[in-house]
Amino acid sequence: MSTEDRVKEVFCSIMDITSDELPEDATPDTIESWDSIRHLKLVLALEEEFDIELDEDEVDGLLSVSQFVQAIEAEL
Amino acid sequence: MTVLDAETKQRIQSYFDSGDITAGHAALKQSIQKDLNLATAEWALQFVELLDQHQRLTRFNIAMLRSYTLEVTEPLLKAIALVYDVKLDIWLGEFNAFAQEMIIPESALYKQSFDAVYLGILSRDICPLLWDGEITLEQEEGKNEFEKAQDLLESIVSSFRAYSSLPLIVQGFEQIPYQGPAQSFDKINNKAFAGLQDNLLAIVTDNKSIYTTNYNELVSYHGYNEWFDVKKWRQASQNVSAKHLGDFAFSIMHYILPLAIAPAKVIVTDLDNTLWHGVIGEDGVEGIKISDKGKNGGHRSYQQCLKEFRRSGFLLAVASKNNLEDAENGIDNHPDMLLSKEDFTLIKANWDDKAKNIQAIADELNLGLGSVIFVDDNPLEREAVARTLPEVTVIELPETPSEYKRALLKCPRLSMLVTSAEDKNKAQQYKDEGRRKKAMAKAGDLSSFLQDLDMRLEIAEVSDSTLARSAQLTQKTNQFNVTTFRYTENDIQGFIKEIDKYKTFIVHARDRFGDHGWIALAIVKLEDHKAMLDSFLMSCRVLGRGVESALLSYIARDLKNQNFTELQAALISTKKNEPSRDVFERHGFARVDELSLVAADKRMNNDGTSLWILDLQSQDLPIFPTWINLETSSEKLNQKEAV
Repeated sequence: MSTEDRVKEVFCSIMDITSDELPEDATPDTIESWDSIRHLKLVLALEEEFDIELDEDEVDGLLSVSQFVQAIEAEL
Repeated sequence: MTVLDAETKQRIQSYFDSGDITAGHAALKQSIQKDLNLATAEWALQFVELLDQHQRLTRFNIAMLRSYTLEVTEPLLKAIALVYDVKLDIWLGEFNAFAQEMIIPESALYKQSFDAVYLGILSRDICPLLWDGEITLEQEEGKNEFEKAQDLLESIVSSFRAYSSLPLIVQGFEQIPYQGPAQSFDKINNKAFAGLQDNLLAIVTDNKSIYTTNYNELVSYHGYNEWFDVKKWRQASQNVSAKHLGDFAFSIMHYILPLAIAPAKVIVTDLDNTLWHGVIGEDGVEGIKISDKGKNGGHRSYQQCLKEFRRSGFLLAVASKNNLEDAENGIDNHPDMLLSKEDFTLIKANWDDKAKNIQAIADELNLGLGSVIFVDDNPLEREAVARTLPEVTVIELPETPSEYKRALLKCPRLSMLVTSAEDKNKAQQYKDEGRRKKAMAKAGDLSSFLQDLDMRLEIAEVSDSTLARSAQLTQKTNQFNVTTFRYTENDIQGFIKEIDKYKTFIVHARDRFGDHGWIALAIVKLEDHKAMLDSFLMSCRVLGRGVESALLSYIARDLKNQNFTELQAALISTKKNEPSRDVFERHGFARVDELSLVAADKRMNNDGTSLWILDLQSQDLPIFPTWINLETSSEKLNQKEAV
């Protein structure tokens, strides 16, 4: 699986949506359930999935699936 | 620990899709025991309703009050409950609001119906200065912090008992970790945390159905440094690292599950490669090994563990595919056997399938299948039993024998909530030493709690340094937020620039538990001596402490001083902002049908909106809470220095 697919899979589990419900590029505006707690959950789950640590100054600014993918790829 | 692989997910999904709920549930139970983490838990929870429809799950509803983030642990607790056929519902108390929730009889805690309550306060939150070593227990200040913590603990627990008879689980207090220097403060200050733990024990032995957890032991078992995630703690008050969330959740379930369903009664174990290493029928007594040493070591620990469960009242039985005489030969004649034939209430060694033998054991002991725990190294046997006898708890045994013992200890169905004689002694000693002067059962009151809180606010206009936080507050605050307008940094920058049209207020809070940071924000729109609250919001962590009153009072006086005549406001109801709904009513606003400034704002014109007005010329402006002190803005001080 590509990094993007893995991110999407974790993302859907955490946001409680199916992959069909995932828009082209999900943001807190398009995903209703994306609040601060889900954001924290997403960061934790992705860090575990990829066994990385995201930059703590950047995580709050990661507001789309593609931004997460970029940030993760930078750590891999 | 890895996130559940796609293949396993697909397999489980296809069981459910094809209608084989039992097989799906069995596979889910296996995965949750083996690979529990946040993503797995969230994924597993999609099946709750389906499982509940198929075979009504036991319901258990718990309130969890806390000083730290539990939102991330919540799905893991619910997922573990599914392993034991329980549907766990969790209501989380507001962040760091446990004291007011327990002390006020009208609080949300007492308005709902629960089966139990969990209270999690971290050592670092209850005595922050002692924890950090800023002061020591040898100083007057340190003694004070410790005594205040004891008082708080007693006051909240006795209030709780006055208003509720529900079981209460109190998380144990952890010890300050290793520091380094020989003279370090941890040795002295840890007496405070040990004292709090003893205090808990005394409370526990005085009160029926109050329990304290082994949180300190849990942290030290995994190692503080591995356990504590310093970055997530800074960012989000999330203390437990992602890696250990599963361990944390299982440990809590050791206290919740025994309240939800009866503990198991009998542990049925396999023999070959489970109770010992090797196959007795082929290798003979000389060929099997019971040891913790070597590559396949671990069976001795496993036996010790079974012996310990036997001592605490569980029955042991054997279900093994062997000739009975071979099985008995191994049990009776191997020199390293820790368990003897007498320890086993029943031994079923034959060539029937295991499910049949387990059923026979349950029948002969006159127990339901729900009382049975089954341990077997062979995954095929486990799966067959899990699918034919879904009520049986099947332990997901790791491949390495040295981990068998841990796998068994991890199972919350083997946890019993009893107070040991040792605990009782310790509590008695503690009382005899006269350290607990105050009588219990005196319900604490909120005003003294608030006075003791030493709450200090700083209210400033939004500036460059608070711009990002302001935007973040508008984006993320859902519960205490009257309009829920979301703004970017640019938007807010725009408000700041238009001094004639907008005024912003941002609030910083600290109290004796620490610094809460910038936690509340108001954006006021100005027009012809009239003002309107465009946004008024506050982080939940300070709910119930009067911060909103302080801010409204401050805004009203500030506007009045600048000759504004009225403050208009709109409350736009959303699914999530229930806690903010009565804020205007509570602060002397009058409800009206129309407002000039609101009418001009399209966002405020919808069905869920109520309109409110405060007459700024009136004598009854919102009162500034007596227990809150307003501090000089450090922002202003900095500016002065810059000049």
